[in-house]
Amino acid sequence: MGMRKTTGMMCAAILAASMLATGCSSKTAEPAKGETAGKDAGGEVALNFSWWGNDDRHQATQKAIDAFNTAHAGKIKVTGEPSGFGNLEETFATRYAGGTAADIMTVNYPWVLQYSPDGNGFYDLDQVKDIFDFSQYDPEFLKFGQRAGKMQAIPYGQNTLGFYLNKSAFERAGIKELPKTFDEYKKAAEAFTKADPNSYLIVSPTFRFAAIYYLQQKTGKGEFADDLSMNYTQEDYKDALIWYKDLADAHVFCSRKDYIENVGNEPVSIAQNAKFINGGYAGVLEWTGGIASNAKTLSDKGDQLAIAPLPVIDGAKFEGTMAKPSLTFAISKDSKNPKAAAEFLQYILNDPEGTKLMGSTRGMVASKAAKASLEADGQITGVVKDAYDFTANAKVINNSPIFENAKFTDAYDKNYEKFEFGQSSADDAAKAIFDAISEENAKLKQQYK
Amino acid sequence: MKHSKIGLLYILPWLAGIIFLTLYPFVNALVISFTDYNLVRKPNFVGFGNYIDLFRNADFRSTLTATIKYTIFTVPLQLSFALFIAYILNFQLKGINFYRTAYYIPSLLGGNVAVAVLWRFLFQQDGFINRFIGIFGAAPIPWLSSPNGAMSVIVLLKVWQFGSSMLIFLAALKDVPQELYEAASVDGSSRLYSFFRITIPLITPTIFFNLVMQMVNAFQEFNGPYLVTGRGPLNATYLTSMYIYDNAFKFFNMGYASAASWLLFIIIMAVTAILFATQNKWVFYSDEGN
Repeated sequence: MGMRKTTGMMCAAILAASMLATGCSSKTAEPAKGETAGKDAGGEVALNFSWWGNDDRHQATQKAIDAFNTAHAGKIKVTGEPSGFGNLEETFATRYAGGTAADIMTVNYPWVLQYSPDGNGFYDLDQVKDIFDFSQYDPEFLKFGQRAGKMQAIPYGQNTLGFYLNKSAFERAGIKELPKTFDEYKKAAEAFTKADPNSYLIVSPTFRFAAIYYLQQKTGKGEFADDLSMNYTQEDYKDALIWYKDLADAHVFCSRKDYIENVGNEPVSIAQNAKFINGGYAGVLEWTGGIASNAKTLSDKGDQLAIAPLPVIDGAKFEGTMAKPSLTFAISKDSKNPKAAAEFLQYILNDPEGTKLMGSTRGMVASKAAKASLEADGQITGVVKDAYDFTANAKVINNSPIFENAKFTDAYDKNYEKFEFGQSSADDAAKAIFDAISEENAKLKQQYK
Repeated sequence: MKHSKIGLLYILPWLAGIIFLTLYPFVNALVISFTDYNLVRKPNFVGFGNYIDLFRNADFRSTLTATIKYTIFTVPLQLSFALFIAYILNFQLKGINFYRTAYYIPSLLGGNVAVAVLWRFLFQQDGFINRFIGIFGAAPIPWLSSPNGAMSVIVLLKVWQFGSSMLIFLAALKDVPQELYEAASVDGSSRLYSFFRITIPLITPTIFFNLVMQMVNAFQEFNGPYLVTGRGPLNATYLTSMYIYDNAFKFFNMGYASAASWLLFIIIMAVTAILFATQNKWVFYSDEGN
């Protein structure tokens, strides 16, 4: 009996312990070297390239890789490593820390600061400036990819937050002209909810996008100052909560309850969402980077996406939206073949053929050569052209590199949810957001000082 | 000696697995739990700071409540259902092997992504379940967007995966001597009476085994809730395993996540120990008294 008990307890202990095996192993030393692919026996350089996105981006990128491989047969072979939009940072951080990052990496803009605060986190691209043509970029724009004076990543283009509406759904609801003000949005929402009481005009991956849009206009400032300090007060957050809730009650913005029901809990791209495709959400508040995907899913169904004018709140100090450099591209500091990697980057970011194949699936390009190639190929038309014009004309405040810290977004969504579900007052929710952001902000300021 | 070496060779893959994939991370997580390791920077020693923060953190306490609630609902329901189906499948029915296989399939599918997508479709506002209950005039239930509804959805998903417990029960039921039922029947015992007076007492070691295994699994549950409901409304389905995952891979607080893992491990061990302490009162082993 005693033996049986001991054995049983041991089994239970091992079972329980096995969960600790997931995700808790540490590798505190520098990322392991030599894990990236090198030359094979035939002398061909093997590289891998990681990116994320929807199907349209995967297909376009794979075509570019195939064309590059064909043109460099026997010399360089690139293997693609695509992934979806979910768990981006988890995947990146794990690979980076484990020393298994791809030779050529897609890097979110905030990660440049996060993983390379001293300019040594990625390969120094100044070493390959004879291969990669930096002259195609505005020198000021390139600064987004620099840390401590070193070129760490190449910013792809500007991402601007905007209202992209299903024009066809508006027409079906009897609205010929897209709304320009929030009052017009409220009126439009009435028309939509008459036909379908569960419909909403605008869905956004996170309440935070709308809140910052409002707070930028209200205060005239971005969420964080250049020295990373917070710009918004507890009272500002309270105003944002009440403003959004009012518009969610009017079915202009998607309620949190409806988001949980039809999208989920996490901030994700809406392009593939069934309710968006079916017109239950008549538009999105998202970055321009996703506009081609959103437009494609709607056009597959015969609907048309259009960029709406930016609505302005009453008493606005700023009449624009927020922007950030869209994704960036970096070469792993552990890559054995940085020159070949730079050659590939040159192909997909500046080469007429490569940029043509990559298309507009990553949003607006910043490279002059890429834009010329896409224009010549007739790819900058329709909503994509509108997005270029919108990006060029919109008044924007660039968000801080610490903006996309997951704890910030988490604090916004979690506390708005409590407010909307009646579990906390606007004051309590605003205080909770302010406290959570202050705490994380203090840590980040300390970390990056 | 030669035999023992061959034996050792046979278990070497398992041994290597347990040492490198379980014991090493297990001990390493304990070390990390006393640091502020964040995957990128070198860790600093923070003493019991992470553990103190955890006890003060309302979110962590809320995930523990959700996990305990989830365990309390899923384990008895799953075991009862598994035993019920195993009891039926123990009869000599035509095509019994087909039914046994069919009932085991949900366990093979488990909490994978396809099932999660299907599950979300089933329980959405205009999903199959609400349409079905609508036939009888019932109002749609906000399964995914109400705290209780979301908890019900993930409990049902877990209960649906009853196959492994069912197979173990089936094996135990087959071991119950038929003579006992025959003797009871001669004495006028009903099927129900025999079930509670003969079957249940004789399979208590199996019930105990399944109870411990399912309890440990429920405390560690991740896939189903993560894929189907996520945190759920108001963190209703935000289980401790998900909290650990978020802190480790979303917020990169590896030290904090490791401390939470260790606290969860201690809780699981404590509950397991309590179950073992109670087994003398209700578990009957056939070699009892030997």
